[in-house]
Amino acid sequence: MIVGLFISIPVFAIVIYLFAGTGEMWSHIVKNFLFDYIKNSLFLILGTGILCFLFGTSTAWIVCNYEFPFCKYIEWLLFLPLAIPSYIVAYAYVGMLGNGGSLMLFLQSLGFSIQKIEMMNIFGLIWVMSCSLYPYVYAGTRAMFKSFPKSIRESSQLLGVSNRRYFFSVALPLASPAIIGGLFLVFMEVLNDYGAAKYYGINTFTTGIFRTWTALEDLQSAIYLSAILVILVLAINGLVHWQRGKKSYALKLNKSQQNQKQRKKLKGFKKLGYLSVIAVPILFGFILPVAQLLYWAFLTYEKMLNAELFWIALQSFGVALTAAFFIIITALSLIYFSRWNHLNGFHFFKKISTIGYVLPGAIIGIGIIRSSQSIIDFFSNNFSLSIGYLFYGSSIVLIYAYVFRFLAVSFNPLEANSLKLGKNLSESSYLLGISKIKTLFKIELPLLKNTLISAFLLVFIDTLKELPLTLILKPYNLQTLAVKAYEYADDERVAEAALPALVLIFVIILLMIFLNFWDKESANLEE
Amino acid sequence: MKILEIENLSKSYDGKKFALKDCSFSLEAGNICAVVGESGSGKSTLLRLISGLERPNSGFIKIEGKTVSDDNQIIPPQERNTGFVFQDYALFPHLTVEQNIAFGLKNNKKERVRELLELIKMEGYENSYPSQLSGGQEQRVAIARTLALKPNLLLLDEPFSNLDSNLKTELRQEIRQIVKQIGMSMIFITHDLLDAIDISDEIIFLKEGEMLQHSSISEFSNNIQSEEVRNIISDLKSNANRILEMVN
Repeated sequence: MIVGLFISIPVFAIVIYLFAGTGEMWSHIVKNFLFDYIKNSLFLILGTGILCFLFGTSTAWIVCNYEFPFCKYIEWLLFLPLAIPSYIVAYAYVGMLGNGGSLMLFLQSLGFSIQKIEMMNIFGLIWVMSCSLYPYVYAGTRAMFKSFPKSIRESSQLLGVSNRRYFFSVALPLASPAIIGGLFLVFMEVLNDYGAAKYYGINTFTTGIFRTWTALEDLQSAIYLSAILVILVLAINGLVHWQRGKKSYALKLNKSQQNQKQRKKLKGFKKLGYLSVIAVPILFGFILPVAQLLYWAFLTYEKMLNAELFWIALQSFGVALTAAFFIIITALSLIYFSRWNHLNGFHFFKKISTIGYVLPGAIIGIGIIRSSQSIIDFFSNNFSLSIGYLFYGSSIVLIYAYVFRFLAVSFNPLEANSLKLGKNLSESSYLLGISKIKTLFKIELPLLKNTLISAFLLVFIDTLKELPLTLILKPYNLQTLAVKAYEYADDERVAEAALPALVLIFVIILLMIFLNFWDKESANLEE
Repeated sequence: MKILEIENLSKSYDGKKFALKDCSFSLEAGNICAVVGESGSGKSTLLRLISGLERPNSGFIKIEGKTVSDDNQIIPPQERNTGFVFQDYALFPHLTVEQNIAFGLKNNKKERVRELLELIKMEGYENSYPSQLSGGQEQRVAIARTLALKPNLLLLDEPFSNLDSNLKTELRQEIRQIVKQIGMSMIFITHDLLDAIDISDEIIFLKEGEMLQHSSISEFSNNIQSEEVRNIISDLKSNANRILEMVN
């Protein structure tokens, strides 16, 4: 209960401080910015949602149903845009398509008279976000399409139903829970984004919260903006749960049937068309941005490849490792303490403490800053103790924020797998006179080893990429690769952002490969 | 008149081992035929070849006198006038009973669905979803969906394997009644000899892809053509003695 309560502080802080009245700048914000924040955020969600749906479902459908050259590798390549944070894709696009951009120069050398393609507007941002976030839809939809029993497809065929009708009337509705789940993650990432929107000059809720707090120096109004954003997030969350609840279908899955799915061979124009559909997101979401970053890295490596970059990378990994360690410990504590003690009301705290994943980083940052300030004031007023340095001079607050933000990423799979293991093994151990702690270390944790490693890596990757929360809460003496790349781009030294960004991408890709390999090994072992 | 003629039908999935080898038989129109055999004997392969879901390596299949599969041509499943009910029923879980039955229909949907619901005795279930039905009801809906297209040959893959014994007995008779009422033919797979004896007119024994025996149900126990069939019969079920007593 204490762990749950402690983790939930940022949410309660925002709720409590809402009653402290509006900030000085609130009327100015309402008059000049609020409509823009709402309009742009909703338009971004809608546009990115539509494109991610198109990219994610079309590519998932093609890789699950058709055979083409290198299909096994392409199936995997489609995940790679997830390795590049969207703000880095945003910088790369301006470098490619802006005035004198590398792609523009290339096109001009081929005789095209095009000078630039304007990306720094809301449509450009939608394109960038979609190219980097569609894998959230692709991943779930692909898994769903793969899980369909062969008989579903064959019975449609026997009933004389065309491929097109099968896709729209059967496959798409059946995959809708996965599609909606993926879109929800996309929406949350769009609302969480700070770097790309700020760089493209688009006023969204998240950039608004930052501006209100840093430029206008009005924390109370930032809390009000956060509260409106929380309402928007909760509304989307409610809508998604309602839709998924309505559309959760129990397919009679037959494992032996799933693996027998015959993929059709593609030929002629159809092959060309389908390969183009797959090539678009890979090309625009991964190959072109990475090529641009490599080009920049080539231009700047003499200046940038130095001990400082190495040191920043080390700090980044150190913070991510520490955060991942505490996140796993917190998740395990929540799962096992609650199981051992059968607490009433625990479910509520569990929900609240794992809500961080659906809350944009800026909100969590504001919630933590506000509650930290209250704690500092409390100790100062009552005990004449100055503890500010503990909050602002160390990484404690940042690690705590990561725990809150990413707890759900490890908690959900760990809880699901510990439930799957059941109570029998643990209870047998208790009956043999073994203590709960010893049972945890000797029986339960070894059985959860694979899930623990996967959850650890996922949290590590998320922490490594994180930007808005790190920007708000990092101590002055700490630098991360994500923040460094952002700072260079923000200073109009975008080419110099390439190396830290590439190091980040390279490490994430390595971890994704390892995760993929590990998951396959675990699945084989389970079988 | 023959509804189905099969000659030297063979199928190998990996090019080495035959799932079905040189299978030949024919089925009289209006008859019900049970295909009996152990797992891996080629029962499902035979049904999938007849329906057109698989392509044979050699041999030919004629349905109602028309060649649907030989070395030169293969008619797609939807043009063979056959219906196929899968072991897991393959009902679309997001569609209601009415929408499932009408899925393959192009016109007169309402009327045809009403007729079929009456035939399978499930009036009033139009708006139910598959998840709200019992196993027996799901199977009846799957059969109705297949019957909607008025096939002349109905193929059922292990139709009774997921049902408890009481429901099984009831459904066997219901299916026989429906098939005879419509006047179509049916081939079904089973590994339970009781299913075969209870409702079929003909029986086929398969082992490791080879057809061991094809005879009428009334003759087969008096005319067991190989030791292997005798072994299958004694191996198939723990109640084999009871079955033979019934037959004799």
